Amino acid sequence: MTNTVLGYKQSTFPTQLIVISTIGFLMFAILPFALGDFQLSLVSKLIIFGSLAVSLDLVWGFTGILSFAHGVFFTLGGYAAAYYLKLNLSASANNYGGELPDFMVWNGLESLPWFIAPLKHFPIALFATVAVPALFAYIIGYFIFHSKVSGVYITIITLAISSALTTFFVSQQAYTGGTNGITDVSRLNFFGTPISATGIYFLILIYATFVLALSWWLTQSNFGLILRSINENEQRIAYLGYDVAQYKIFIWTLSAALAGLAGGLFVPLNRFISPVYLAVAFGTQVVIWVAIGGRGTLIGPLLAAMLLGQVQNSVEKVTQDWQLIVGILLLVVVLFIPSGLMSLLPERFNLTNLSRPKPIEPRIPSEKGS
Amino acid sequence: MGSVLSVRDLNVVFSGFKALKGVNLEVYENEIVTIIGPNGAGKSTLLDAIVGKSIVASGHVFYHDKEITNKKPHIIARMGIGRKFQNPNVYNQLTVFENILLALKGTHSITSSITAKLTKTKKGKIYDVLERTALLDQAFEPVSSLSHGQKQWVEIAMVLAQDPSIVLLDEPTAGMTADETYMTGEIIKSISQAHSIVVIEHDMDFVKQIAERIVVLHQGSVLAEGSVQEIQSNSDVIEVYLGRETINTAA
Repeated sequence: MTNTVLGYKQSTFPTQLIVISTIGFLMFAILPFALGDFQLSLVSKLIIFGSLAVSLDLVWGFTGILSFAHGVFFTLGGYAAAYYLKLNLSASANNYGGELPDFMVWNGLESLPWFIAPLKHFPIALFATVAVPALFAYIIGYFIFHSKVSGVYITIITLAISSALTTFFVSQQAYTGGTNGITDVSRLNFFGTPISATGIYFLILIYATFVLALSWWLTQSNFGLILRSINENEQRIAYLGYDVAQYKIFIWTLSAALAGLAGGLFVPLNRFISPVYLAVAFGTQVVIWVAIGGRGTLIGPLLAAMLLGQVQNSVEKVTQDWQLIVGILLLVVVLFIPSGLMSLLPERFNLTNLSRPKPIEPRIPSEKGS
Repeated sequence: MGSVLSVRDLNVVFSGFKALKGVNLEVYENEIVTIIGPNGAGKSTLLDAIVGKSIVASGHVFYHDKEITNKKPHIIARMGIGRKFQNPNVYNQLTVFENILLALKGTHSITSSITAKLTKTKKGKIYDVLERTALLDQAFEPVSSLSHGQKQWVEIAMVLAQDPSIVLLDEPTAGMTADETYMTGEIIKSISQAHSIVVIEHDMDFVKQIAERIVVLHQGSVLAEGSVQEIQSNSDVIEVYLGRETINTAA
């Protein structure tokens, strides 16, 4: 039987999906040969933002939790990576020639704080990139989703988290580098050899592919069906025996972990991290990418993040008011294409819809169960 | 036969208003209990208290002698109590098939939901439930495209797929045509062969079609209990329903 149903793995080979994604991947894979280093790092940045948008789509698009805190998860991962790269600057490259990063010296620290020191080691830093934002999200999620707080109030809490953390990071200058953040970090090395711009690009491309594939796999399973039903009516599904809080905490934490790792990859590329990415303005940008791309489409938010990033770059050359242009774009999309840009494309381009059942005869009489 | 569900001296209070005052109810295996009563009598509140939706102020709910008072809804549901709500509470954006799939009895853990496969057995069960509720032809249509009566059936089908040992139905025939109502009655009777059922109903013809034992609620208390004949001739019930069409047609 080739008939497939949303909520379960496809019984037929998803040819269409494989073809579309292979073409997509190959297009990106040949880019380094066509672009210069500067443009390539720009595209790398757009892809990283795209995968951040996909992680938000999991909680907002599928589960209905609107979060402005995804910039925070991203940045927490980013700081973990930045400490690693900063601590691995060769002593000669450090302004003060010592072990201690320059901003700590300026702020009167005499030794490396115990909670930052372990990040000098790559495995610990990599783990922290994922674990710190995930643990932070888990703690917040545990309390939010077990309480009676719902809908717009959760969104307000995420806004508050974003503001509070921005203030906190700015105030803890000795540990976080304050407003400037952590700058002039070392380049990412692979056993002593610095990784080239092309290398970073491929790392990021592979990560984005991983995030997309994982999200697609999850949302096409029965788990995805449960997320959609939580989105539509979370009370009802509890009476079917599902622990809604547990599902929400899981997807929320997973999404934060994915966002954190995106942040971790962003720093070797960007070479600095600062509270700018913790702030509500950046969190809002992520929300805008998802809204414009199309909630619950995965590929839509990815493309929208890249597209808007490109728009921002072009507009910035003409005027400082790029936010005005993005704002107008958002208004147009929300008013005229509420389901996002993906809804303008023919149905077959929506990767999350490929396994939607076709209206065919549901059953051959002989197949009747017991 | 022991009781499947036992409600003892149940009190539910909504910010000072006593919605249920010392309600007692026993439900035995494979029987149909019909709850009737005027609006505001506390019928839906009683079901809400059983499934963990409304907080019980005092009193107890036992399910197979296990106390379930004020437990979380998903835990009560997993133990084997299924609930159909007053207005069809179904997933409009999903297809009929997907609605039933969600309800299907089984584990409800995250890992099993991720790795689950649509086996022949599962498909068979879903089609079986859809056949019993006359929804086979609509299996792959979104629920939003169905009629009100069909949506009621979708929710009944969901409860069936849950395969609970006790089924709580809150006005299952609301908004149905006479034919649909009759068919719903037949479905309920067939369910009762293997499940205990508690039904809240207004339609007296329907009550007569399915009822074995009737419980009358009035202002949060049990007013009377008995067979259709006993209830119709009960003077307290006649007083409460005085001049109401329901009891006239029933008489």
